[in-house]
Amino acid sequence: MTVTENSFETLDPVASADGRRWVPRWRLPAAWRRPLAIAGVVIVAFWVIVMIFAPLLAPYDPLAQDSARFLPPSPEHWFGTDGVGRDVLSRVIYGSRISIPIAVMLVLLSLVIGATIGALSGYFGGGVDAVAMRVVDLFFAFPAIILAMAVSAALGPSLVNAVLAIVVVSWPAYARVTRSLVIGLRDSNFIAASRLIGASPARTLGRDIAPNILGPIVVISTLELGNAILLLAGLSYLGLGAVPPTPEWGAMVSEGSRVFYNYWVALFPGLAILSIVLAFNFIGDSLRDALDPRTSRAVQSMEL
Amino acid sequence: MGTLLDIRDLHITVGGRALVDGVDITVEPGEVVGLAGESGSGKTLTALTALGFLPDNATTSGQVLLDGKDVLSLDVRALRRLRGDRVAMVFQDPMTSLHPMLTIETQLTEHQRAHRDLTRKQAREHAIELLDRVRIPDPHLAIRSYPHRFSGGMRQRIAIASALACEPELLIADEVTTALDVTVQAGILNLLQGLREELGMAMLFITHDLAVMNVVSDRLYVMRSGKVVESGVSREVLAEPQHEYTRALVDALPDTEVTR
Amino acid sequence: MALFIAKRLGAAVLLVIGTILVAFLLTAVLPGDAATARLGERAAADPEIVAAMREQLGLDKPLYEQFFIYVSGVTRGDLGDSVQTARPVMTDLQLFGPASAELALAATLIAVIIGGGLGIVAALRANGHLDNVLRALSLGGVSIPIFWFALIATAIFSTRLGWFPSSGRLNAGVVPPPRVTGFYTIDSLIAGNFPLFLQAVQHLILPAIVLSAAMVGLLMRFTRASVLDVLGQEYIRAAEAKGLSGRRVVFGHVLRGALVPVITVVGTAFASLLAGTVLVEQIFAWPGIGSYAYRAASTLDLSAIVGVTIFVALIYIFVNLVTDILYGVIDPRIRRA
Repeated sequence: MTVTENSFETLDPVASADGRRWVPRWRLPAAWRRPLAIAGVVIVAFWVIVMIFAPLLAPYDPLAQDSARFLPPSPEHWFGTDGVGRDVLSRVIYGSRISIPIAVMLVLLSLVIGATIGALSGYFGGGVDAVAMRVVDLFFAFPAIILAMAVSAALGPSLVNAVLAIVVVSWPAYARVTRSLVIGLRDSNFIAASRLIGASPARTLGRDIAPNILGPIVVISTLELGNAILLLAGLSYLGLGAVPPTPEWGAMVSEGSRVFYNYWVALFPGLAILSIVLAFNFIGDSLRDALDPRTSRAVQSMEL
Repeated sequence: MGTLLDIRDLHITVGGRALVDGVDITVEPGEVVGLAGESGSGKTLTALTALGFLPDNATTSGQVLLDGKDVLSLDVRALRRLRGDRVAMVFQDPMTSLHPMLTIETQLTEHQRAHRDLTRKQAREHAIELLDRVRIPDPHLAIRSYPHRFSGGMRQRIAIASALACEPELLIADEVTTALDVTVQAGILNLLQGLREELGMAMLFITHDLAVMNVVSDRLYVMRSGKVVESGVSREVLAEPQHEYTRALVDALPDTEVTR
Repeated sequence: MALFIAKRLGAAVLLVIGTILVAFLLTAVLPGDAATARLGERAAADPEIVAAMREQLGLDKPLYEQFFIYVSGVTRGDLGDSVQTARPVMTDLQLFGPASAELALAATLIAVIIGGGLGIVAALRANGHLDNVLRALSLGGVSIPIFWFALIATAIFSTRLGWFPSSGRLNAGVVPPPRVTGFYTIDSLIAGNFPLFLQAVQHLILPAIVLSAAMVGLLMRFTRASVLDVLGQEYIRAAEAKGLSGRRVVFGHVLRGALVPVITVVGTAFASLLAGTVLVEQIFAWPGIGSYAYRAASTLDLSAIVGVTIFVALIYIFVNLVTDILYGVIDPRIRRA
């Protein structure tokens, strides 16, 4: 039972300069009024600030092994020190410089690849669609984690390879959703009108379809940001992603897991992961609620 | 027994808007009373109060007396005792008012067993009788079936059968023919007429279609924007409407309908 | 019905072959050579020995021939041998499969009860304070890093409170019950060994709860949405108008209507438990497919990788089949289709 039916018949034409642009009906302000969304935005803003001002905020060099090992949290080391004497707080702060930009890059890459294939597949249909969808189905049947682990292991554990592995595994979901969104739009009146006047496929896709699927795509991407961070942290935890001494949060939890009576080594990086993923999910969830319910079903099918 | 249903000065306000604005309606035992008006006139809301249903966040005043007792003052448990038992309702759209995943038997017997002390077998037998009475062919097969097997008209008959199951004193029929084909409507109306004669049951018949109203009801009330604008014996009101609104509604009908 | 199952099985076979194909392509594309992986360092430096090993493994044959050999092997139930365990992969799967299945099913049960239950509560109290709290909770469930949650849970409930053990399926040195299903819980009950059953459950609880976190969150949300959807339906109003008790309306009418989408979610979420399983089994030293898959992937044990992949693909297909059948049972309208 697939949840791919959606239709843009509920779109209202909004008076725009050329009179032909249809805008999806969702009210941005309403989304922000919800307490969870606001909390999410605050948390994300917090981490972005931390990320940008890391050198100013971190009390120590994240790679410096100067202090005593396994010091519990104290006024000198708010989050204590790890197994080789590095300040955990500083490492957590610098970790944001890895997790956030990489997650964004992950999502963007998967999105670009997946959405392009999905949009072309959905728009042109026929042979292109059939082939593309069989490939996507195959990727879906193949357990993502195994694929990711295998690619990572084969290429050698490193951040870059982990990113590659995750992109390989993530793009199919974007392809499927984009395809179903495009198919929903493809048969609507104004697209037909556009084709009638002889607009090329590139124009139709770019000018008419793209703005209208932007809303759901934004929602999906926001939600996927959280997943990307979790995947990255998970791979690093398994030793297949970032390697020490890189201060990546997942890798830090991994180090801390061997000595969890020194709870602070694993606790704080994990809290960092939790806080930012939660924030992205709060935001994404509220955005999804603001969507037209029929479109949101295509979005929901993505998360399964 | 006195007046069966006596709605006195009913006000229902939601979000500052008066949806029902001072309405008085009575139904005597065995009477068929029509409630006419367009959508938004407040007729359905008014009728639902007879079952003790009120919209969320509503401010209400007035009384809804069922055989002397104010329904609006009853607690949920007491309300549940009289719903389906003394007062029953048939809804507008038979495609959505029956549960798609429960058998006809379940839907016809569950409230029987809730309100009366019946065994499964007894309730089942009664359900078959009811189906027969509303002229569903092959009731023994029907009872084991699911709603999707039946057409709109047949589903409405089943809904009527369900409403009749506990022999209610008052039946509320909310636009019961509106969702059906014109050809099917006549059948349902005939059925209701026949049942009314057989059972001597009172009915509150809601519709926006005055032609139907004339056929079925003894007295009628015309509602507009939450108020009753005219009432009286159906034949008289429709032949010589006093209020301009009623007149407009009557004028909108094809000529042959009203003069019977 | 028979045709329905036959069609599904046919699609399943195609899918399995397709996954094998992908796995094979992967192994061809990725660097790393199975032959050198098996040999010690010194042996790997000697080209003659490497060539001999390749011939032994059949790696010198062209790729498509290897593929056919492998596929024909699969049809006979031979999935090749695992490099790291030096056993047939089939044996490994039979050894480790049930452990993961037990864990996954336990996690699903927990998720259905807690997630489903809370979802219903949230729907019945929609838009109130409780609903908002539950919503935050459900988002928390899908946001929490599972490996971190496992550590925290172990630290609190195992180390600090001592309520549950933190590793293995049974206490060290304890003999497992005679194997019927491979599920220690069921098997110990079958053997009539109640203390052993309790021990197995004790070991199962913590990892199952940790594994269920994301699923609880997901189910809470979907159940809520589905129940809310049903609550707006006319047939619920009709049920209320018949004077049925609250309990009857909720359990007999509302839940019945809300089940189909929820089953969809349970099915898909179950299949995606694998990722969590890999992490949880590592941390709780649970000898299952998850940790096997990790070892296989990280050592590029190709037969094992392909074997696990097929296993998982089959589970996916099986779960789909079960959910499709359940739909038919619950919603009579689907049966006729």
